[in-house]
Amino acid sequence: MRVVITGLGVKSPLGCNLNEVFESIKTGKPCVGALENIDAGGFPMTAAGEIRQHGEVVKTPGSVDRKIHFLNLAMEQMLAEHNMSDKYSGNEMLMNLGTGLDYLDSENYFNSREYMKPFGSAIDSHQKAGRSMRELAIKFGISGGCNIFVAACAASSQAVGFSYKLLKKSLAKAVVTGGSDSMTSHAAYLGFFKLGAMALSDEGPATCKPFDRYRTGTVVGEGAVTMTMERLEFATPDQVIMEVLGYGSTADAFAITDPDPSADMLARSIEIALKDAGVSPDQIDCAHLHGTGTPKNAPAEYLALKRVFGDRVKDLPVYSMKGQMGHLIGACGAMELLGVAYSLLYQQVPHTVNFSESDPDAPLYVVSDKPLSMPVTHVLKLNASFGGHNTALILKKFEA
Amino acid sequence: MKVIYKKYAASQDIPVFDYVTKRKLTKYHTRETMAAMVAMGELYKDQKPPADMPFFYSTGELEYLDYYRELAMSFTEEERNTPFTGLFAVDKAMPRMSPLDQFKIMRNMTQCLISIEYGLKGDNALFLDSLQGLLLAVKISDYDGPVLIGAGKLYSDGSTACGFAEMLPDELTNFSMVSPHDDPLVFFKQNIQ
Repeated sequence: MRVVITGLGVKSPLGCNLNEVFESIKTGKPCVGALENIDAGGFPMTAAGEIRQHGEVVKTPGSVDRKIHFLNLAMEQMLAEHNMSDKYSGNEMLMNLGTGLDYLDSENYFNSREYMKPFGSAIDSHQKAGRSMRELAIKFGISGGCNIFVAACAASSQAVGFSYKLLKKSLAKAVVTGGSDSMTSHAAYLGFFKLGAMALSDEGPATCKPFDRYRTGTVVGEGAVTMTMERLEFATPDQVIMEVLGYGSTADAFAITDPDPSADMLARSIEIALKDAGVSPDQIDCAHLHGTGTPKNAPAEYLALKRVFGDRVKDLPVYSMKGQMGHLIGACGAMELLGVAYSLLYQQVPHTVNFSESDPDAPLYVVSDKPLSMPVTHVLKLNASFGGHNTALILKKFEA
Repeated sequence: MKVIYKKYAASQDIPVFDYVTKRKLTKYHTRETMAAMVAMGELYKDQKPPADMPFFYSTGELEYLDYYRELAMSFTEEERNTPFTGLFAVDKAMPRMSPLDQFKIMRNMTQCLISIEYGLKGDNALFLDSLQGLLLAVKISDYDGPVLIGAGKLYSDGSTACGFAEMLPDELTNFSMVSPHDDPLVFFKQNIQ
């Protein structure tokens, strides 16, 4: 059973439609800046990848949960171009999305003293992601089910992988999948800062430098990406963007934040995905990695690739989107699939923004300065998360 | 096949130390995690599940406002009268946030800590309040053996509940079914043995 991605909706730091996103990837223009949508005065760092349209940050009032607001817009955009209800009944469609924490409008919560309300009272400043997403499923006529994935940075890639398996095993006809998250609220941004994984900077907004020898950490961001996934038998061939060929997921069971330095289970997720896809490591043309810019991420990804690809690791082009837009956490895997789509559609491996010097502990072949033109048929997409969830997806250039 | 379901009132002790070997990690436990450790301990007794067994978990909407409420209530009256700004968040709120609470707020900590305690490294996913997700995960499993599914929830009244079961795809039909859109804990509660 072949499974394909046929429609996309996007609101992201790289742009608010697919053409804008692809143009940003091609040029490598920086899409991270100092926080604009919230008052970040006094913050120890302010760098963030906020959602931009025509290069400008899209602003919303504090009462708006941005991950839901932009998810709604991404869904509207996708369904306007790719009307699912023409082909499928509501019960035949599922929604599987990744996301992060619930939203707290800190300013209103504190200024209106909502914390003084009796225990169990409705709190206007607190918006639950699950409820909001299920309401969106109903709004868009998707009644086959709404499953929300919340495994931190692996949430949306789990949602995509799970959706693929449902379709492959004929347990669904069509799935709306992807992810939406925003780390640009006071609570989410400062909470993540306290975890100690953010990039450091002496002056100006910090930069995320995936795989670079002098990387210091990541930069957080936000974005909403939706995609329609269908069985090829029901899809319209000229709408197919790419084919999903394989999925593997594992857990490190090692630590609550750090990846297992042996990278055994990260490598295992790749092996499972390759087996599922029925392709050999030699058939993978490039790897789009998780590439967070944190010190421990790059050596783990390097070791995993080395175990699977052997000496070929030094010749396998790799890429991370996070240097350009930051880490979208619960939406990162879905957003980064747009980078995979770029590779398959334009036959290029994008360049990793902010990478300049190779790390001796992770001597990956990182494409830098400009995209690398080459034949691209199969792409490996890797993601991993705090808590030790690993995912690997194999995507293929579509051929009818 | 065995189903375990546990529920604890807010005032009730959860005997987590009787069921964990990695005691240092209990500082990261929410009451949902504690209940999950007890339920897993009851499910497996002195046995250990295979390391590659798939493990799918559904967590409840997190009542993390408790952490912010506690933080806000610690402010002086003068601080409460100060308008909220970025600087206020950094100077007054951030120092009062416990670093342990940062981890407790992360939705995947219960599944992560269970995986570490039992060495579970197989196929996995974490859902938010989804019985359908758990049941579909069993149906689509490629694993040659049962799948471990679990669900837990912290309720706003301070109580917590948790359920676990090992399940084969064929066994789904033997269970008392609820609507896939229902709370996953209802499934475990209805099928407790």
